[in-house]
Amino acid sequence: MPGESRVAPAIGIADNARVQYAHQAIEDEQAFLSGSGSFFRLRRRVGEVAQRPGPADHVLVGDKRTAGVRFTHGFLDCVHLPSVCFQVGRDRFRCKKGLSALSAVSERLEPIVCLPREADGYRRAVSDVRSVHERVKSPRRGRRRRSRVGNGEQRLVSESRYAMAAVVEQLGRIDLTDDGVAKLIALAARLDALPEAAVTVETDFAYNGAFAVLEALRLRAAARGTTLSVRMPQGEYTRPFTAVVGFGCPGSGGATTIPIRRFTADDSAAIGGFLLDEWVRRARRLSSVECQYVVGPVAEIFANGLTHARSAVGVLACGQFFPAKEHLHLSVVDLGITIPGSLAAARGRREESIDASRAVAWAFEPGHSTLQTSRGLGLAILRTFIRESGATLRVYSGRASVRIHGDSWEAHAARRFPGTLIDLELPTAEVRLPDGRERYD
Amino acid sequence: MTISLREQFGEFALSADQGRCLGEQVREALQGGEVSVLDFAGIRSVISAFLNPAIGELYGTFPADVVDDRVRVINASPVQEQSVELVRSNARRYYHDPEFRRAQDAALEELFSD
Repeated sequence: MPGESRVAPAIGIADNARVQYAHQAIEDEQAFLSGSGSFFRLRRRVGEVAQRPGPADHVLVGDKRTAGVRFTHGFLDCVHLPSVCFQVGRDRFRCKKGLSALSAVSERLEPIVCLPREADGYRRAVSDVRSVHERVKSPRRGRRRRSRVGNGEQRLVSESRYAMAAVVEQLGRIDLTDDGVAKLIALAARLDALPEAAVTVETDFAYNGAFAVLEALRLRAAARGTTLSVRMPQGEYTRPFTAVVGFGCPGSGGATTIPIRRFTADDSAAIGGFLLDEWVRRARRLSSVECQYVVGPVAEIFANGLTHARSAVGVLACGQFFPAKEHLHLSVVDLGITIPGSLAAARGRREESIDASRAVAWAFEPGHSTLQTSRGLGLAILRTFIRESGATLRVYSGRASVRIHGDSWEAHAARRFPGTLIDLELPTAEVRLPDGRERYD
Repeated sequence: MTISLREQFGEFALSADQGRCLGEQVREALQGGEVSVLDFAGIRSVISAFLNPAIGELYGTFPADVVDDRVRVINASPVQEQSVELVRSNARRYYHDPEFRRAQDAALEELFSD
């Protein structure tokens, strides 16, 4: 608290119900944090403090991976505590939902707190933390974890409100392959299982579409109090990932990448502007007429997603132009109702009861729509465009995994993607305007 | 009645909501026996999601020859004209060919295992 030490603590623990943070530089900005977002903001505050220049006047208790906070050992002391509830001075900082939360995240729960080094409670806090940690960790075979904790600690745990599961997911390379998408699918499942956690994805490389998926997952997770950050060789990114696209392709520079855009409404101007002025224009060899020819079928992807998916995070898209190959790439993702799910729902059936890949094939047929009106042309037009332009389309929707190129249609077994991801790869050198024949019969 | 899409909706006709808005105007004109001329000048891109409610669904209310004759398109690019014709033919088939809908339903039903 202010006045407790030479330098006001960045983070203080106020009482059992709330976490109060205060800082000398922002005395007027003292705020009480409560509710599910509190830990989130607490961590952000720690992150801000960790990046301030100056003497090491605080101690950070937690793992250096915790919360995606960047700090250096020279600035902040680190105490590695993989899993524990703990006490700081007369106040207590604990795990939020008791031992069930502890067991859920096992050894990966990494609480974090920041104290002034000079604070009376500092040494005692570290000692207490270690002590409680040891007791929680000491195994007694045959007994439940809850019973391993003494009464005092039991109360700490049961009364606790704040916790953070800091999880690091090492995904290696995330390529535009079934394996790469499978990693994203697994991550989505992991995020669903970890409410109010801080998840850091470590990746050596991620293709640009992966960041559209990661951004969608980040938005969905944030609504439930979970944060998602990405750590790459080039740096660590907490939010948003719009700035990350392009980093995965060293040498490509920013001129060829199309940052992530999010569309939450059926907005013509925004979608058209993105596709025509930001995306397809990167392929400089295409004339304006050719650009318009390309954009029409591709815009159908957005219309389809916004009409059918009802995704809480909207539709996200990003892309890249590869000058050497003259390939234009676009990824469009939503986390809403899948194509198989939409068809199943139209018949009052479960998504599991439908053949997912055949469902996607059905949706790409002209005139096929679940809406009881003359619709069902969008994906058919896209299909025709793919056939005529030499493009490759990959569709992941629910359990469907389909690759379309020319007249070939390959379906693969896949884990369930929690929405729809469409990746388009267009060789711009092969784009030809239609010759006037009937194209869609 | 001539309707400039550019003036009403801007450079892009990519939204189903905009299509519905246009469809209502054309529907009123048709009910009054008027000819509707849809001017595509300045439109950079149009998609079926716009054209279906704007033109296609009219075939569910009016006879096909009436819509064919009284809903006209001008200043559209060849690609846009192709899209309009595709929407018209799909709507004619949907609303006036019961066999098409039955076949579509049957194909969908075959996808289920339960």
